[in-house]
Amino acid sequence: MDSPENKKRLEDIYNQLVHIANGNFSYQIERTDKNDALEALTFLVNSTTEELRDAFLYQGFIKMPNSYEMVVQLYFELDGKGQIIKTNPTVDTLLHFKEGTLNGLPLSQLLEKSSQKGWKKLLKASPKDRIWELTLQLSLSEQSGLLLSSLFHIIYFPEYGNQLATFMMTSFDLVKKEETDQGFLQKKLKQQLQAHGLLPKPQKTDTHILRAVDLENLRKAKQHIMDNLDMPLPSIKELAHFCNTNEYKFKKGFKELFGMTAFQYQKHERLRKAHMLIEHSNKTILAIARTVGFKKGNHFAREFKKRYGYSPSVLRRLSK
Amino acid sequence: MKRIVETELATMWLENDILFFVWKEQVAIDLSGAKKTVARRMLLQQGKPYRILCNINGVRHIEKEAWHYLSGEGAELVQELVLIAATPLERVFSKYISTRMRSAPIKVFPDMETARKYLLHSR
Repeated sequence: MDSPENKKRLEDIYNQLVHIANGNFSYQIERTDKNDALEALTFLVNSTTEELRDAFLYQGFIKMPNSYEMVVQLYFELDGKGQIIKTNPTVDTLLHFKEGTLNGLPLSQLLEKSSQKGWKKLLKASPKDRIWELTLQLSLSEQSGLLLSSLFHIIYFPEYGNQLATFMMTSFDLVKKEETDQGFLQKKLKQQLQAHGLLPKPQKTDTHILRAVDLENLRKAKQHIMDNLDMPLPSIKELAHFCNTNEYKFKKGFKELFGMTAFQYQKHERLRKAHMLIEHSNKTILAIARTVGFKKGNHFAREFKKRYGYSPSVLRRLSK
Repeated sequence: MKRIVETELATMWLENDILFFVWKEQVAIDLSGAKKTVARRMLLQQGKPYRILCNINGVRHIEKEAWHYLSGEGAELVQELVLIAATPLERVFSKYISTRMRSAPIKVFPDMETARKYLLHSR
């Protein structure tokens, strides 16, 4: 526990927890090859961060007030060899570098080991004479050693006239909205523009907001359906009761969270399970249909073909 | 004569009506790797549920979507899952798996010996 390496690992865990405590879920702790207690903690803290991040990502998208709405953009401009020419101030803020200190550095120096490989390959193998673009997941090292992983969109501009070849890299991240004067002014400005018809007004649709406890109950309902595919679907009344809510809220909530009704979800899962059993086992198709809850073989075959475009027997034949 | 099946991420074989499953050294499991491994396991099991003895010593990282997959769809035909957790990291993985796996009973043992004893004595 006292080695300098372990001290650093513990420090990383502290730093990550401080970020989480501040509502900042953008970072991940770098993993090592060890399997000791520190590594166990590292894994758990990283997993917790991801869970929190996903939960707030969802809330951010359903427009909860004062939540994590702001989209932050990272921007890098690199020369043809992959050295940083300029960055936007957010890069310095998120990676905790002093303004301007990144200029002149090769991007690979900022990248985590596994991302370095991918980036070096790209630099080497990519065409140098024409424009191209692609999207790539990269992990950057923040000043203290934590990792910031994001999907980057990379565009390469070849040399043209006086313009040297350049790379443009951008990425987005969902970060806690600061209730600063700037946020207040932005809100005011938005309202003004909407009043003058220059920005679309917010639609008065559902003000239905799913709270954390609702999310948990709906997931329980989904799991219950998944675990009992061979049984007929419980009535909406029963499912709503299972979720401690009313029928209207259950129907709306389920559809909003999972994108389909409970009935559609059950059918979806039944057919998925059947597909897997037909592909990977020797049970008869009729037996499989019964196992997943279809009473009639022809009904099953019809629904299967509707979903997958080929019949169960064709799949069986192809899987042998 | 037991037939040992090797995939990119794991090694598995059937012995005494038990499926032995060993994740390889330093594996990072992503969704596509998880799917391929599960497909190979399905093929080995031929539609029959088995009790599985799983060694997670080699696992370094599991992607979030891979977790979801392995504890849901990827847990089909698992009659019982027996895990060996000898290191702190493995203990934590086992705890994590136990809370996510709702379709099969899980037992965790500190070493291969006690795990084997349990499996042989409770047929």
